[in-house]
Amino acid sequence: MADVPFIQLTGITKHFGGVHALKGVDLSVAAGEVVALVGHNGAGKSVLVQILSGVFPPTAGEIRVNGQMTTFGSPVDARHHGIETIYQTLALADNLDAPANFFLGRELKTTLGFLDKKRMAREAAKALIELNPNLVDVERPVRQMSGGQRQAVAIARAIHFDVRLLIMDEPTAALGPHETAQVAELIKRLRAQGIGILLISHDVRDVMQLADRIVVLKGGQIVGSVVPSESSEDEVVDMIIRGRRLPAGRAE
Amino acid sequence: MTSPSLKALVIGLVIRTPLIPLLVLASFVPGFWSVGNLRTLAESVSIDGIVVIGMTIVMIAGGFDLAVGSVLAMGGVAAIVLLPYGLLASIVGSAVFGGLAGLLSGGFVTRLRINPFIATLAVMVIVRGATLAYTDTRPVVGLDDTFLALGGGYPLPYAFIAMIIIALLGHVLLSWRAWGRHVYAVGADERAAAMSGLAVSPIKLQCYGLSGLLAGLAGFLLAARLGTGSPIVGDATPLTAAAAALIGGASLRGGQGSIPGAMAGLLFVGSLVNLMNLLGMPSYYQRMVIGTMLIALVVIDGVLLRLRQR
Repeated sequence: MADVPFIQLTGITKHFGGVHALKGVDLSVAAGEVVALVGHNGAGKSVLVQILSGVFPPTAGEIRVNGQMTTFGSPVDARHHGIETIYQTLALADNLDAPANFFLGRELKTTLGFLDKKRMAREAAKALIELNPNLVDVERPVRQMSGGQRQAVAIARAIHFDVRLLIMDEPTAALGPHETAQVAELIKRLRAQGIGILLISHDVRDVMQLADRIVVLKGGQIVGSVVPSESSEDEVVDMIIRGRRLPAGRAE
Repeated sequence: MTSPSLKALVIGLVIRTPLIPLLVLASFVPGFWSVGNLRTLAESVSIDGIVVIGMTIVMIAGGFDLAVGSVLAMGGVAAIVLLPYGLLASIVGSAVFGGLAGLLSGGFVTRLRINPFIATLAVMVIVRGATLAYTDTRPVVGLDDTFLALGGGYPLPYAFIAMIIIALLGHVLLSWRAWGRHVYAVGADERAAAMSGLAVSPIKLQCYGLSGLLAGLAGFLLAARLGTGSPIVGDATPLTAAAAALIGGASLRGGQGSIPGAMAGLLFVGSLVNLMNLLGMPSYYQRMVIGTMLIALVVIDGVLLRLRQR
């Protein structure tokens, strides 16, 4: 079973009315593999992310988890398979505090079904401080937190619940250099733990250093995939722009 | 840990509403602090108060319910019409009819994606029309002793006790159950809530259903007090309910508000109306005051938001 990837998408197609957002996309991520998905805005990256995290189903195509065919009816289904997503928007409820966001949709309850606020506060605080020691006073609305702190909440929530595949949608787009380095460290750590990571980015330089494999998407189709050590930033950028691979030996 | 709700109540009573100045002012009006008048105050706020609880929950979920007034009237008529089948049928019937009207609003909002103001405006008119048609515009009369006794209660009116119990239940639901937390999340950011795996549409539907159910139940209590089910009551109810909820910290943008806060808001609006009554102000002018206050509240709400965003 070692060569069965954790997740495997085959022929994923998505139409929104007359708009063909994805046209037969094949993509796989193995356990402990970091796959970067790059492409321009409108290439279909976000649509693919939302299909993988169960926000909406594909029009056609297959999703396999550990080789088993499956469908995701909702984000809850995807979570049950250990697929967690950190959206670019972070998907936090601004009016709730960090523990409430952390456990949103899977609250800890007492035997009578009431919220176990103390335990949630304790566990969330522990997970958050482990991730970002600068986080003090987690029990305030996330609205009042900085961008980095809010992202820590979103990341901590995603990796807390037995994650097998972590999808990160532009994780560093809103961060400073120091926080970006922290995210890179985190990705390496999770990878070492055998967690598969799908990294969505438009920053080719960033992903060259982090990814085991870079997949280029353009116009809803996969242009090709490269291994960073055997390729160059220029080649990837070229693929993003031209939508095809340069013929071998003709690097410009 | 009751501090957040206690805080909401204190903020509602002291900071957001000029309730304390109002009550001080009220001391100069003869008769305000008399037992009889306080009972009148309790009686007058309790029917609206039950409606306010539902309205607040809908507003926290990012919606609005204009239909509560006509659902109240329908609930009252249903209560009287079902009275011959027993008191239980009367209570349950008014709540069920109200709940169905609420689900209709919720269905328009979630399935057809109609703006809550338009959807509940339509349901308001539909329900009012149906109630008027069914009763041929005349009040229906119920003469059951137990039923009429439920409209009374001394020193505390039963409706007031019912309001307190429902408010406590509502508060527990919002603050101590996962469902309540999901309502807040949906109201703050529907997309984020959906991405977090919450079933956004069912939650909103349940909020509207609950609001309708409570309005129907309030209709039952009003009919018990009046001994009649009038098809024309409740036209100012959405106004009062929205004012109380907004004063209590709810926002038209959703995700904000609490039952304790709304109860403080209700007390403020109720005391204000009571004072205006004691001073002999005609009720039409009173409505103008409440209406103006509602606009002021929405403006203040917007200013507060801008201050916070700085």
